[in-house]
Amino acid sequence: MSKLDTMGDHREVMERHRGLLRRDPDSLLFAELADQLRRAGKLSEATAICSRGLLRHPDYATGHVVMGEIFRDAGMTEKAEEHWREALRLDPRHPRAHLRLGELHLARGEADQAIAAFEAAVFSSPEFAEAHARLAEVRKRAADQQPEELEPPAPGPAWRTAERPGWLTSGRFEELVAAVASCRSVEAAAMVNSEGLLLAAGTPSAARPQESAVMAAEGAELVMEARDLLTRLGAGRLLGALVWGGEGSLRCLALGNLTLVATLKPGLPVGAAEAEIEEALASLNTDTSYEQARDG
Amino acid sequence: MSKHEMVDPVPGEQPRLEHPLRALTRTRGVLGAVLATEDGLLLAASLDCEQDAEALAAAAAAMARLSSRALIRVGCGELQMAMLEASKLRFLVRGASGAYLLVVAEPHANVGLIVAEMDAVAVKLGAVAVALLEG
Repeated sequence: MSKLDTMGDHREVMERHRGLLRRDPDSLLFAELADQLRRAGKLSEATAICSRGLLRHPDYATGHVVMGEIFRDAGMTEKAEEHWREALRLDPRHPRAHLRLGELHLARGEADQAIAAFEAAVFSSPEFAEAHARLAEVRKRAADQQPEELEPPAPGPAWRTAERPGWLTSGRFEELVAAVASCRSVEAAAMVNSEGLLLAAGTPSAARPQESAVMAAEGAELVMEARDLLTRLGAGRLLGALVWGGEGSLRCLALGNLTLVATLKPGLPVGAAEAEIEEALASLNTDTSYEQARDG
Repeated sequence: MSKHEMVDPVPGEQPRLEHPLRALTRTRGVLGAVLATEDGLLLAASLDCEQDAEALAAAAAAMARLSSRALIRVGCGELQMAMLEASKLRFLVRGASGAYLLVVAEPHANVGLIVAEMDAVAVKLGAVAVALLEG
Protein backbone atom coordinates (compact mmCIF):
# COMPACT_ATOMS: atom_id res chain seq x y z
CA MET A 1 0.00 0.00 0.00
CA SER A 2 1.40 3.39 -0.94
CA LYS A 3 1.87 6.26 1.51
CA LEU A 4 -0.89 8.18 -0.24
CA ASP A 5 -3.27 5.24 0.18
CA THR A 6 -2.42 5.09 3.87
CA MET A 7 -3.01 8.81 4.26
CA GLY A 8 -6.36 8.36 2.52
CA ASP A 9 -7.30 5.60 4.95
CA HIS A 10 -6.34 7.78 7.91
CA ARG A 11 -8.45 10.62 6.58
CA GLU A 12 -11.40 8.25 6.19
CA VAL A 13 -11.01 6.99 9.73
CA MET A 14 -10.76 10.54 11.08
CA GLU A 15 -13.86 11.59 9.16
CA ARG A 16 -15.73 8.56 10.50
CA HIS A 17 -14.69 9.44 14.03
CA ARG A 18 -15.64 13.07 13.51
CA GLY A 19 -19.10 11.95 12.39
CA LEU A 20 -19.53 9.62 15.36
CA LEU A 21 -18.45 12.36 17.74
CA ARG A 22 -20.87 14.86 16.19
CA ARG A 23 -23.71 12.37 16.68
CA ASP A 24 -22.61 11.56 20.22
CA PRO A 25 -20.63 14.46 21.76
CA ASP A 26 -20.42 12.51 25.03
CA SER A 27 -18.47 9.71 23.36
CA LEU A 28 -15.00 8.84 24.66
CA LEU A 29 -13.96 8.68 21.03
CA PHE A 30 -12.62 12.23 21.33
CA ALA A 31 -9.31 10.91 22.63
CA GLU A 32 -8.85 8.60 19.65
CA LEU A 33 -9.74 11.35 17.18
CA ALA A 34 -7.45 13.86 18.91
CA ASP A 35 -4.63 11.33 18.82
CA GLN A 36 -5.10 10.78 15.08
CA LEU A 37 -5.14 14.54 14.49
CA ARG A 38 -1.96 14.92 16.55
CA ARG A 39 -0.22 12.23 14.52
CA ALA A 40 -1.32 14.04 11.36
CA GLY A 41 0.29 17.22 12.70
CA LYS A 42 -3.02 19.04 13.18
CA LEU A 43 -2.20 20.19 16.68
CA SER A 44 -4.69 23.05 16.93
CA GLU A 45 -7.65 20.86 15.99
CA ALA A 46 -6.35 18.05 18.17
CA THR A 47 -6.11 20.46 21.11
CA ALA A 48 -9.64 21.74 20.57
CA ILE A 49 -11.17 18.24 20.31
CA CYS A 50 -9.25 16.87 23.29
CA SER A 51 -9.83 19.81 25.59
CA ARG A 52 -13.56 19.79 24.80
CA GLY A 53 -13.65 16.06 25.53
CA LEU A 54 -11.83 16.54 28.83
CA LEU A 55 -14.33 19.17 29.87
CA ARG A 56 -17.02 16.46 29.55
CA HIS A 57 -14.83 13.66 30.89
CA PRO A 58 -12.25 15.14 33.26
CA ASP A 59 -11.64 11.73 34.84
CA TYR A 60 -10.80 9.95 31.59
CA ALA A 61 -7.13 9.02 31.99
CA THR A 62 -6.50 8.23 28.31
CA GLY A 63 -7.81 11.68 27.39
CA HIS A 64 -5.16 13.22 29.64
CA VAL A 65 -2.46 11.02 28.09
CA VAL A 66 -3.40 12.23 24.61
CA MET A 67 -3.59 15.84 25.82
CA GLY A 68 -0.08 15.46 27.21
CA GLU A 69 1.17 14.10 23.90
CA ILE A 70 -0.32 17.09 22.09
CA PHE A 71 1.45 19.48 24.45
CA ARG A 72 4.69 17.52 24.08
CA ASP A 73 4.49 17.82 20.28
CA ALA A 74 3.86 21.55 20.74
CA GLY A 75 7.06 21.80 22.75
CA MET A 76 5.24 22.46 26.04
CA THR A 77 6.69 19.66 28.13
CA GLU A 78 5.68 21.04 31.51
CA LYS A 79 2.00 20.99 30.56
CA ALA A 80 2.50 17.57 28.99
CA GLU A 81 3.89 16.28 32.26
CA GLU A 82 0.95 17.72 34.20
CA HIS A 83 -1.51 15.75 32.06
CA TRP A 84 0.46 12.52 32.22
CA ARG A 85 0.67 12.80 36.00
CA GLU A 86 -3.06 13.50 36.16
CA ALA A 87 -3.63 10.38 34.05
CA LEU A 88 -1.65 8.32 36.57
CA ARG A 89 -3.53 9.86 39.47
CA LEU A 90 -6.76 8.69 37.82
CA ASP A 91 -5.35 5.35 36.68
CA PRO A 92 -2.07 4.44 38.41
CA ARG A 93 -1.52 1.55 36.02
CA HIS A 94 -2.03 3.41 32.77
CA PRO A 95 0.85 1.98 30.67
CA ARG A 96 1.04 4.77 28.10
CA ALA A 97 1.20 7.45 30.80
CA HIS A 98 4.12 5.59 32.43
CA LEU A 99 5.81 5.27 29.03
CA ARG A 100 5.52 8.98 28.25
CA LEU A 101 6.80 10.01 31.67
CA GLY A 102 9.70 7.60 31.18
CA GLU A 103 10.55 9.23 27.87
CA LEU A 104 10.40 12.62 29.54
CA HIS A 105 12.79 11.49 32.29
CA LEU A 106 15.11 10.07 29.65
CA ALA A 107 15.12 13.35 27.75
CA ARG A 108 16.08 15.08 30.98
CA GLY A 109 18.95 12.67 31.55
CA GLU A 110 17.20 11.04 34.55
CA ALA A 111 18.02 7.47 33.63
CA ASP A 112 16.99 5.86 36.94
CA GLN A 113 13.56 7.48 36.91
CA ALA A 114 13.17 6.59 33.24
CA ILE A 115 13.89 2.92 34.01
CA ALA A 116 11.36 2.96 36.87
CA ALA A 117 8.69 4.45 34.61
CA PHE A 118 9.35 1.99 31.77
CA GLU A 119 9.26 -0.89 34.29
CA ALA A 120 5.90 0.36 35.54
CA ALA A 121 4.62 0.48 31.95
CA VAL A 122 5.76 -3.10 31.32
CA PHE A 123 4.33 -4.27 34.64
CA SER A 124 0.98 -2.67 33.82
CA SER A 125 0.89 -4.09 30.32
CA PRO A 126 3.24 -7.07 29.83
CA GLU A 127 2.60 -7.10 26.07
CA PHE A 128 3.41 -3.41 25.58
CA ALA A 129 6.18 -3.78 22.97
CA GLU A 130 7.19 -0.11 22.86
CA ALA A 131 7.71 -0.04 26.63
CA HIS A 132 9.76 -3.26 26.50
CA ALA A 133 11.94 -1.77 23.77
CA ARG A 134 12.54 1.49 25.64
CA LEU A 135 13.28 -0.37 28.88
CA ALA A 136 15.76 -2.69 27.17
CA GLU A 137 17.44 0.27 25.50
CA VAL A 138 17.86 2.35 28.63
CA ARG A 139 18.93 -0.66 30.74
CA LYS A 140 21.59 -1.57 28.21
CA ARG A 141 22.99 1.95 28.26
CA ALA A 142 22.98 2.00 32.04
CA ALA A 143 24.66 -1.41 32.19
CA ASP A 144 27.34 -0.26 29.76
CA GLN A 145 27.99 2.59 32.19
CA GLN A 146 27.98 5.09 29.37
CA PRO A 147 25.61 7.70 30.68
CA GLU A 148 27.27 10.29 28.47
CA GLU A 149 25.75 8.50 25.51
CA LEU A 150 22.27 9.27 26.75
CA GLU A 151 21.17 12.39 24.97
CA PRO A 152 21.38 15.13 27.59
CA PRO A 153 18.56 17.60 27.94
CA ALA A 154 18.82 20.50 25.56
CA PRO A 155 19.46 23.74 27.41
CA GLY A 156 16.53 26.06 27.82
CA PRO A 157 13.02 26.00 26.50
CA ALA A 158 11.45 24.29 23.51
CA TRP A 159 13.02 26.46 20.81
CA ARG A 160 16.46 25.44 22.10
CA THR A 161 15.98 21.77 21.30
CA ALA A 162 16.84 22.02 17.59
CA GLU A 163 13.32 20.81 16.85
CA ARG A 164 10.73 22.89 15.10
CA PRO A 165 8.18 23.80 17.79
CA GLY A 166 4.66 22.59 17.10
CA TRP A 167 3.31 26.14 17.22
CA LEU A 168 5.68 27.32 14.50
CA THR A 169 3.40 26.81 11.53
CA SER A 170 4.07 28.53 8.19
CA GLY A 171 1.39 31.10 9.04
CA ARG A 172 3.50 32.30 11.98
CA PHE A 173 6.86 32.82 10.27
CA GLU A 174 6.22 36.53 9.67
CA GLU A 175 4.99 36.97 13.24
CA LEU A 176 8.07 35.29 14.70
CA VAL A 177 10.51 37.22 12.54
CA ALA A 178 8.76 40.51 13.30
CA ALA A 179 8.92 39.77 17.04
CA VAL A 180 12.66 39.08 16.88
CA ALA A 181 13.38 42.01 14.55
CA SER A 182 11.62 44.35 16.97
CA CYS A 183 14.15 43.57 19.73
CA ARG A 184 16.34 46.57 20.57
CA SER A 185 19.56 44.59 20.13
CA VAL A 186 18.56 43.10 16.79
CA GLU A 187 19.36 44.82 13.52
CA ALA A 188 17.53 42.39 11.24
CA ALA A 189 15.96 38.94 11.41
CA ALA A 190 14.93 36.33 8.89
CA MET A 191 13.58 32.80 8.65
CA VAL A 192 15.09 30.54 6.05
CA ASN A 193 14.60 26.93 4.97
CA SER A 194 17.29 24.29 4.59
CA GLU A 195 17.83 25.26 0.97
CA GLY A 196 18.69 28.83 1.92
CA LEU A 197 15.42 30.23 0.61
CA LEU A 198 13.98 33.18 2.49
CA LEU A 199 10.64 32.47 4.20
CA ALA A 200 10.20 35.72 6.11
CA ALA A 201 12.29 38.81 6.77
CA GLY A 202 12.12 41.68 9.17
CA THR A 203 14.32 44.79 9.29
CA PRO A 204 13.81 48.19 10.90
CA SER A 205 13.68 49.71 7.40
CA ALA A 206 11.79 47.47 5.02
CA ALA A 207 13.90 48.77 2.14
CA ARG A 208 16.62 46.17 2.59
CA PRO A 209 15.17 42.93 1.20
CA GLN A 210 18.39 42.04 -0.60
CA GLU A 211 20.40 42.27 2.63
CA SER A 212 17.86 40.07 4.36
CA ALA A 213 18.13 37.44 1.66
CA VAL A 214 21.93 37.46 1.90
CA MET A 215 21.80 37.28 5.69
CA ALA A 216 19.32 34.41 5.59
CA ALA A 217 21.31 32.48 3.02
CA GLU A 218 24.55 32.96 4.99
CA GLY A 219 22.83 31.83 8.17
CA ALA A 220 21.50 28.71 6.47
CA GLU A 221 24.93 27.94 5.04
CA LEU A 222 26.57 28.41 8.43
CA VAL A 223 24.06 26.09 10.08
CA MET A 224 24.40 23.44 7.39
CA GLU A 225 28.19 23.38 7.58
CA ALA A 226 28.14 23.52 11.36
CA ARG A 227 25.86 20.46 11.43
CA ASP A 228 28.37 18.53 9.31
CA LEU A 229 31.18 19.62 11.59
CA LEU A 230 29.35 18.58 14.76
CA THR A 231 28.41 15.23 13.26
CA ARG A 232 32.07 14.52 12.53
CA LEU A 233 32.94 15.46 16.11
CA GLY A 234 30.11 13.37 17.61
CA ALA A 235 28.83 16.41 19.46
CA GLY A 236 25.10 15.80 18.97
CA ARG A 237 22.48 17.99 17.37
CA LEU A 238 23.21 21.58 16.46
CA LEU A 239 21.13 23.97 18.55
CA GLY A 240 22.52 27.23 17.31
CA ALA A 241 25.49 29.37 16.41
CA LEU A 242 26.63 32.74 17.68
CA VAL A 243 29.37 34.61 15.86
CA TRP A 244 30.82 37.84 17.26
CA GLY A 245 32.17 40.30 14.69
CA GLY A 246 33.87 43.66 15.00
CA GLU A 247 30.83 45.46 13.60
CA GLY A 248 27.98 43.29 14.81
CA SER A 249 27.14 39.68 15.54
CA LEU A 250 25.27 36.91 13.77
CA ARG A 251 22.88 34.64 15.65
CA CYS A 252 21.42 31.46 14.16
CA LEU A 253 18.92 29.16 15.86
CA ALA A 254 18.21 25.71 14.40
CA LEU A 255 14.49 24.94 14.41
CA GLY A 256 14.20 21.59 12.67
CA ASN A 257 14.55 22.19 8.93
CA LEU A 258 14.27 25.94 9.48
CA THR A 259 16.84 28.46 10.68
CA LEU A 260 16.13 31.72 12.43
CA VAL A 261 18.90 34.17 11.58
CA ALA A 262 19.45 37.54 13.22
CA THR A 263 22.15 40.17 13.02
CA LEU A 264 22.84 41.88 16.33
CA LYS A 265 23.84 45.50 16.67
CA PRO A 266 27.47 46.24 17.57
CA GLY A 267 28.39 47.63 20.93
CA LEU A 268 25.55 46.00 22.84
CA PRO A 269 26.00 43.08 25.23
CA VAL A 270 25.36 39.80 23.44
CA GLY A 271 23.68 38.44 26.56
CA ALA A 272 21.08 41.19 26.38
CA ALA A 273 20.31 40.26 22.79
CA GLU A 274 20.00 36.60 23.77
CA ALA A 275 17.53 37.44 26.51
CA GLU A 276 15.48 39.67 24.22
CA ILE A 277 15.28 37.04 21.49
CA GLU A 278 14.25 34.36 23.96
CA GLU A 279 11.55 36.63 25.38
CA ALA A 280 10.30 37.39 21.88
CA LEU A 281 10.10 33.69 21.07
CA ALA A 282 8.49 32.88 24.40
CA SER A 283 5.78 35.46 23.76
CA LEU A 284 4.74 33.45 20.69
CA ASN A 285 4.92 30.05 22.33
CA THR A 286 1.32 29.97 23.49
CA ASP A 287 -1.33 27.55 22.42
CA THR A 288 -4.25 29.95 22.28
CA SER A 289 -6.51 27.37 20.66
CA TYR A 290 -6.28 25.28 23.80
CA GLU A 291 -7.05 28.23 26.06
CA GLN A 292 -9.97 29.27 23.85
CA ALA A 293 -11.38 25.77 23.72
CA ARG A 294 -10.97 25.29 27.46
CA ASP A 295 -12.71 28.57 28.20
CA GLY A 296 -15.54 27.66 25.87
CA MET B 1 44.00 10.88 24.29
CA SER B 2 44.10 10.54 28.04
CA LYS B 3 42.97 13.24 30.40
CA HIS B 4 45.09 16.36 30.36
CA GLU B 5 47.61 14.73 28.08
CA MET B 6 49.56 17.26 26.10
CA VAL B 7 50.59 16.73 22.52
CA ASP B 8 53.92 18.13 21.34
CA PRO B 9 53.70 19.01 17.69
CA VAL B 10 56.20 21.83 18.16
CA PRO B 11 59.14 20.03 19.76
CA GLY B 12 60.68 21.93 22.60
CA GLU B 13 57.96 24.55 22.83
CA GLN B 14 55.39 22.39 24.63
CA PRO B 15 55.83 23.87 28.12
CA ARG B 16 55.33 27.41 26.93
CA LEU B 17 52.16 26.55 25.03
CA GLU B 18 51.01 24.06 27.62
CA HIS B 19 50.51 26.27 30.64
CA PRO B 20 47.92 28.67 29.20
CA LEU B 21 45.87 25.79 27.79
CA ARG B 22 46.01 23.89 31.07
CA ALA B 23 44.78 26.97 32.89
CA LEU B 24 41.89 27.23 30.46
CA THR B 25 40.96 23.58 30.96
CA ARG B 26 40.66 24.20 34.70
CA THR B 27 37.79 26.63 34.08
CA ARG B 28 34.48 25.18 35.25
CA GLY B 29 32.62 23.53 32.37
CA VAL B 30 35.63 23.44 30.05
CA LEU B 31 36.50 19.96 28.79
CA GLY B 32 39.43 20.83 26.62
CA ALA B 33 41.39 23.46 24.75
CA VAL B 34 43.26 23.24 21.49
CA LEU B 35 45.60 25.58 19.67
CA ALA B 36 45.66 25.15 15.90
CA THR B 37 47.27 26.84 12.94
CA GLU B 38 45.09 28.69 10.45
CA ASP B 39 45.37 25.59 8.24
CA GLY B 40 43.92 23.41 11.00
CA LEU B 41 47.16 21.74 12.08
CA LEU B 42 47.54 20.94 15.76
CA LEU B 43 49.97 23.08 17.78
CA ALA B 44 49.02 22.03 21.31
CA ALA B 45 46.10 20.59 23.23
CA SER B 46 44.92 19.97 26.75
CA LEU B 47 41.92 17.67 26.78
CA ASP B 48 39.71 16.32 29.52
CA CYS B 49 37.38 14.53 27.10
CA GLU B 50 37.49 11.79 24.52
CA GLN B 51 37.67 14.13 21.54
CA ASP B 52 40.55 13.69 19.13
CA ALA B 53 42.96 16.63 19.33
CA GLU B 54 43.80 16.68 15.63
CA ALA B 55 40.13 16.54 14.67
CA LEU B 56 39.48 19.46 16.99
CA ALA B 57 42.32 21.43 15.47
CA ALA B 58 40.84 20.92 12.02
CA ALA B 59 37.41 21.85 13.39
CA ALA B 60 38.82 25.07 14.89
CA ALA B 61 40.05 26.24 11.51
CA ALA B 62 36.83 25.17 9.78
CA MET B 63 34.68 26.97 12.35
CA ALA B 64 36.72 30.12 12.09
CA ARG B 65 36.70 30.02 8.30
CA LEU B 66 32.95 29.58 7.89
CA SER B 67 32.17 32.10 10.65
CA SER B 68 34.50 34.71 9.15
CA ARG B 69 32.97 34.25 5.73
CA ALA B 70 29.42 34.67 7.07
CA LEU B 71 30.36 37.77 9.10
CA ILE B 72 32.01 39.49 6.17
CA ARG B 73 29.12 38.75 3.82
CA VAL B 74 26.54 40.16 6.22
CA GLY B 75 28.69 43.20 6.96
CA CYS B 76 29.48 42.44 10.61
CA GLY B 77 33.24 42.88 10.31
CA GLU B 78 36.05 40.56 11.27
CA LEU B 79 35.70 37.51 13.46
CA GLN B 80 36.21 38.00 17.17
CA MET B 81 34.68 34.81 18.55
CA ALA B 82 32.40 32.02 17.31
CA MET B 83 30.35 29.54 19.28
CA LEU B 84 28.53 26.42 18.13
CA GLU B 85 25.97 25.02 20.54
CA ALA B 86 25.26 21.30 20.25
CA SER B 87 23.16 19.03 22.41
CA LYS B 88 26.22 17.33 23.90
CA LEU B 89 28.94 19.97 23.73
CA ARG B 90 29.71 23.61 23.06
CA PHE B 91 32.62 24.79 20.94
CA LEU B 92 34.12 28.26 21.08
CA VAL B 93 36.90 29.51 18.82
CA ARG B 94 38.85 32.75 18.50
CA GLY B 95 42.04 33.97 16.95
CA ALA B 96 45.22 33.96 19.06
CA SER B 97 48.43 35.37 17.67
CA GLY B 98 47.99 34.04 14.16
CA ALA B 99 46.58 30.74 15.39
CA TYR B 100 43.12 29.58 16.52
CA LEU B 101 42.22 28.81 20.09
CA LEU B 102 39.32 26.37 20.46
CA VAL B 103 37.56 25.39 23.66
CA VAL B 104 35.30 22.36 24.11
CA ALA B 105 32.78 22.92 26.90
CA GLU B 106 29.81 21.27 28.51
CA PRO B 107 26.45 22.27 27.00
CA HIS B 108 25.43 24.26 30.10
CA ALA B 109 28.80 25.85 30.74
CA ASN B 110 29.09 29.53 31.65
CA VAL B 111 29.88 31.09 28.28
CA GLY B 112 30.71 34.52 29.69
CA LEU B 113 33.32 33.06 32.00
CA ILE B 114 34.85 30.94 29.25
CA VAL B 115 35.04 33.87 26.84
CA ALA B 116 36.81 35.94 29.49
CA GLU B 117 39.28 33.11 30.16
CA MET B 118 39.88 32.66 26.43
CA ASP B 119 40.65 36.37 26.11
CA ALA B 120 43.17 36.10 28.94
CA VAL B 121 44.78 32.97 27.47
CA ALA B 122 45.01 34.61 24.03
CA VAL B 123 47.03 37.42 25.61
CA LYS B 124 49.34 34.89 27.29
CA LEU B 125 49.77 32.99 24.02
CA GLY B 126 50.62 36.27 22.34
CA ALA B 127 53.40 36.78 24.85
CA VAL B 128 54.65 33.23 24.18
CA ALA B 129 54.65 33.93 20.44
CA VAL B 130 56.70 37.09 20.96
CA ALA B 131 59.16 35.18 23.15
CA LEU B 132 59.51 32.48 20.50
CA LEU B 133 60.14 35.04 17.79
CA GLU B 134 62.78 36.71 19.92
CA GLY B 135 64.44 33.32 20.31
